[in-house]
Amino acid sequence: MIDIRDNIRGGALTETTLLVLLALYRPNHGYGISQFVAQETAGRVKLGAGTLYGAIDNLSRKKWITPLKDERCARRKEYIINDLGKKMVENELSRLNEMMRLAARTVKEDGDG
Amino acid sequence: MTLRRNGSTRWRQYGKIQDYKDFLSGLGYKVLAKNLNLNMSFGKARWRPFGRGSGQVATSPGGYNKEILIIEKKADGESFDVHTSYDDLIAYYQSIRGMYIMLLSIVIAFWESRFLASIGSIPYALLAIAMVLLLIPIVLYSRRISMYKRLRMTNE
Repeated sequence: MIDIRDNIRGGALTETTLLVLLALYRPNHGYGISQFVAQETAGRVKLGAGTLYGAIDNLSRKKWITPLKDERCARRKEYIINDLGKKMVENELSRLNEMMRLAARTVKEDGDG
Repeated sequence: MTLRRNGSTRWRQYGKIQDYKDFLSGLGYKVLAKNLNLNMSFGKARWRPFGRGSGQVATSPGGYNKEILIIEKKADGESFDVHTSYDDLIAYYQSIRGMYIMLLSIVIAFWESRFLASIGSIPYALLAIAMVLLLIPIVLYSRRISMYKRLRMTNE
């Protein structure tokens, strides 16, 4: 299993990780996460089954998401983001906002100059 | 009803394989397992060259062989990719390349053994051909892996 390279040096999350975490702000399973990602990105990002499984497994091991016990269907495991995962998302949101401000300022200065 | 197939050769422990199969079934895919029988056995113990750590020695049912998972879905016009991140693609092609490297190592071992010297030069010619044929996929997969590693540095 390949670890997703997150939180190294600059602390940036991969797009896959961030999308999966966002999909888990409500209880969700693999199929639901896949649909959420495809829908919210208008089809730009489509996660393969193997990649999605690896992402969920990795986040579970990092304890950023918590599995929920679904007695109705043991095959469809549901997960939900926990407090640690939400903190990671908030950190990522701050970083993205900072990058957006930097990029907007740089492009504007280039346009003005 | 038309089906599309994809295969996954990622090596996992038995429990993880079941979990992965359940996950794939939950996505609406049909999952079939096929043994690749890449192992060497001594009594009830089997050596799995592609296992990790203590997982290389298997003595319990379900842990004997390396499996390939065949995943089927209805053809709906959508692409069918199991691995879509560069890390997963690199690992996928590295495992395939690893099998060819293992085969090449076995061929080289035969080349070096004294057994062949006693039965003439024809086996050496065949082994040389086998070595060349095995090097081709190794080189091709290595180039693909390098390409994905370069892409991974700037893109996800």
